[in-house]
Amino acid sequence: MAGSISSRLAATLLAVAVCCSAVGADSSSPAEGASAATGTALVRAVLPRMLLLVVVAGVLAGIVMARRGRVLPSRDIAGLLAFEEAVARATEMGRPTLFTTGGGSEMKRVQLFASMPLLREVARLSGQFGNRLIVPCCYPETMPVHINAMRDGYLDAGAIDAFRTEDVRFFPGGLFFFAMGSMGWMLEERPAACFYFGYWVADALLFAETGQTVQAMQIAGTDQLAQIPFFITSCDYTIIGEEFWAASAKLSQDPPLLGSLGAQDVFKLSVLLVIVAGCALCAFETVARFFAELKGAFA
Amino acid sequence: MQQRLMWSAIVFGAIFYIVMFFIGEKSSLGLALHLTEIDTGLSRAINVVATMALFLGIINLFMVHGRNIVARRKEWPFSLVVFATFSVVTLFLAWQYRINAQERRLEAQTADAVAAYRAAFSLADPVERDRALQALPPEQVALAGRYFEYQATYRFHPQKFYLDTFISTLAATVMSLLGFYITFAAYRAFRIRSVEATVMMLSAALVILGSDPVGGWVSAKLNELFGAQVVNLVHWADLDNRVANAGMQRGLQIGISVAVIAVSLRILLGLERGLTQAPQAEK
Repeated sequence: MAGSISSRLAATLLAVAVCCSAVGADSSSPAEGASAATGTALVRAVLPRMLLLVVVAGVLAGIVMARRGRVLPSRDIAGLLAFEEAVARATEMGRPTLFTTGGGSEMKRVQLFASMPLLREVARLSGQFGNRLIVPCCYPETMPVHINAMRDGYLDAGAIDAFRTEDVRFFPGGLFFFAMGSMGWMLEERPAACFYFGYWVADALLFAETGQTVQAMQIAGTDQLAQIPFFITSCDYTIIGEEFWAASAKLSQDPPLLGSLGAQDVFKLSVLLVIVAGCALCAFETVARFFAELKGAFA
Repeated sequence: MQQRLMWSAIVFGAIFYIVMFFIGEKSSLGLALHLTEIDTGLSRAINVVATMALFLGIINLFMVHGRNIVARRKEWPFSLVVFATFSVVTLFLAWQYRINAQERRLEAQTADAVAAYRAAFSLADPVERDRALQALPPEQVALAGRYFEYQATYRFHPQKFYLDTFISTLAATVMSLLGFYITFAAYRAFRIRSVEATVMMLSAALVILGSDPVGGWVSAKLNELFGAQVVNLVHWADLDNRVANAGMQRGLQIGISVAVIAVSLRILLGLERGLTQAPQAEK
């Protein structure tokens, strides 16, 4: 039922986007038209939209194909495989697990929402093993999102009695005060497993180094290129860039989600081909000249 | 039910913003559909909900910490600190609001006079400027003078004082911790534990040497030793940054961009666990 609703919604959305794109391109076209400059402007206006539509259509096709049982294989991500080990280790040590989305994960960041399935998974594992999960939170409006994901995780494990709302704690005052409060909480609770997922900014290293201080097993994931080196140096596992976006699909092993991953890979492959073809075309003149000179030398 | 409501809200918002993106709010169709007005309306609705939530939050804060103090619960003095801080900050903000209101009133009273004075003063010819300034009515000059005097006089700004004295100082303290942490992290990065760590260490050493005057000196000495221009650490470091590093970052960014679209679509379609799917125990 949900599947058919999703398919219908997907088809509707695509139709809306195509119509809007066509209408938008038409309405943004100038009345005088025809000149080369306006033609270029039109291409500039339409091309990004069309490209977006191609990606969206590709992802939807991947989801539909996955529903029919055709899923492209994707490699395992070491950091995700270590989730269970980290929570189990924390349980054995009698210390809690920590999950945070960092000081940059505001409500407007899609990274926050991409991290919630991971929080749910960590909560599920915590509920399954009877471990306590603590979640520091930087923005008040994101608290219900965290609480919901965590509650659902405990429900998945059938351990809702172990879920405590107080374990999601709000630290006000912005990025650095959140980091300061969370670091204090970490030193107090000494979590044995720390998960850092979301939109990370300057507080990444503060958390990761505090995790090192309390000798926690740390797994981090972000798409923020500037913070990845800090996580790599301080964490046991780092989920880099697009792996972070694939994490929820890999964890759930849900065919539609894996189908969308396959579609992404196909699109990236086509981008790669375009890059290679572009390089070849750029190099064509130079290579042709080289062969002409070579031919001349031997003539 | 809650999940369905959430999903409906997500779908409605997404469809609206997709339409807005594809049509364009400034296009003729966008203007005809009043997209900007709808967007403003949605923003206002969010502001109303946020304000309600703020008041609820304040009430909740008072209830929770008030109960802590009355019942003398564990660590109740911290609840007193919450009340004290809340009162001081509110007082400072109210004071600042009063000052801002005074400023706004003065600006409204003197706006015309100040504009006329500035227009006269901005004339390039000194003779014409003097004539224009003398032609200004005395009451306008007095009003403009009042404004400029107000601007030139030092005034205590409680909000600025509070931000500069407490918030910025504390934030700078935490930020400075980063310096130490970066040193620890760099030390850890330089430990060779695997092939990847070795590559990273070599790359880091190259970039450090190439970005430092020592790199040029070392290159010159090595070239002297070899008797040929074979080593150029500065150029190699630049090459590492511009080619290897930039290529890797662009590759990642392409992947991330595609993935963001895919994840947004998955959230929109309600496929993503943890957001719109009911927990297994409830099914």
